[in-house]
Amino acid sequence: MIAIVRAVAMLAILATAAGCSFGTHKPATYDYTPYVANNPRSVLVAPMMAQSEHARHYLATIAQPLAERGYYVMPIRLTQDLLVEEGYQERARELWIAWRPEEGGSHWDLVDETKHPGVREMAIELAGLSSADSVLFVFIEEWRHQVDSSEGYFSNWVDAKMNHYIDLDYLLIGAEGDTLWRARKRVEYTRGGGGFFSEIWNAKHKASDEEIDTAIARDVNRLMIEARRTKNEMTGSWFPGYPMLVGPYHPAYEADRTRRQPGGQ
Amino acid sequence: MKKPGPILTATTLVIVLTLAITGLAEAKDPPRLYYWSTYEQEMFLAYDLPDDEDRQMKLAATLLRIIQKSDEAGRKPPPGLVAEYGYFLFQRGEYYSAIDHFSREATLWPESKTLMERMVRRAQAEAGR
Repeated sequence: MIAIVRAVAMLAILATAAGCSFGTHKPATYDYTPYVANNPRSVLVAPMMAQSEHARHYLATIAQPLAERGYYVMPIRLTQDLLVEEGYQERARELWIAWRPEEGGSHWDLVDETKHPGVREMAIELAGLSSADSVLFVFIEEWRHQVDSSEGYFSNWVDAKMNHYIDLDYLLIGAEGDTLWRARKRVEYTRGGGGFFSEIWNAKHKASDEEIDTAIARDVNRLMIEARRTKNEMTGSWFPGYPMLVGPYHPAYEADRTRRQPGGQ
Repeated sequence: MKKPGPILTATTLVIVLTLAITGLAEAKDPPRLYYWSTYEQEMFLAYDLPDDEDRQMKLAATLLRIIQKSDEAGRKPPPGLVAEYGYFLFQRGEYYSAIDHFSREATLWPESKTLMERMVRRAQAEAGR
């Protein structure tokens, strides 16, 4: 009997904890007014502000979530080549290097258009070039993998535990330079090790670093763009977040727009 | 037969319920707006090694398959994908087919009109050389 009482008590605590961590409470402080007013239909993905290998992995995963959010996404491969030809990738790289933290810059300043008009100016030019209604910049501030061999029952022969640290800024700028939406998140992501079941699961297929990067990018996109919890394990960093509004090709478009109007919910 | 101890029973219950709660908390994926097939994987492989001709060809084949399957199902192909396939044709020197695809993208997605007109002009210039 004591055991049953103890079990019920533990379950109650567990359920409460789970309810808190998985809840969808949203602080109502984000101002969507410029976003609603601009009402973008299309998104151009700007050259990535990141090291090249991460940029490549990331670009492979960005079109699908944006399109599924209801936007027209300018063709990624075509526009990225075009932007290289027009010198914008080089310009993005220069902007990125200019604000590396080790050189005294702050990446938070980088996405603050009042402090660094370079990004905003570039967004206006890119929108003009492609006639996109909005331009999405993704800044990868950190993308680090670290093997943790201290845990995991079978870490020596199955799959070592890996910790991944990803720090991203998303910035959506309208065709006339208004900041429509921004989101920043540092995500910690653990794969492998850590528990019997996950080790057996992971042992079925040992993923390459590139596959892991792509899986993480896919998850992070979902987390940032839709503010939705992902299936894979992300530790200590789940936040309610402020998603991108849904675009005109999404069935929930009208309802979402009405709700975000000033005076709406 | 020895009965399982109370701690073991409690632990089992906790594990089962944790799995149940976690499962319930996972938001179910809503139905997708578009058919994507293996777009992300092929895009990743092609981007990972841009000089690998096989991978580029596989991406092109995947794009074509997505377009055809979407057409067969009477659905719009995902935004940008007809243009992406047209761009492959453009790079291969098949300028007239490329123009057809750029024009189709502009018809499917009016948001792409300006960019597609630009690509059509480029393809026409290349074809006229």
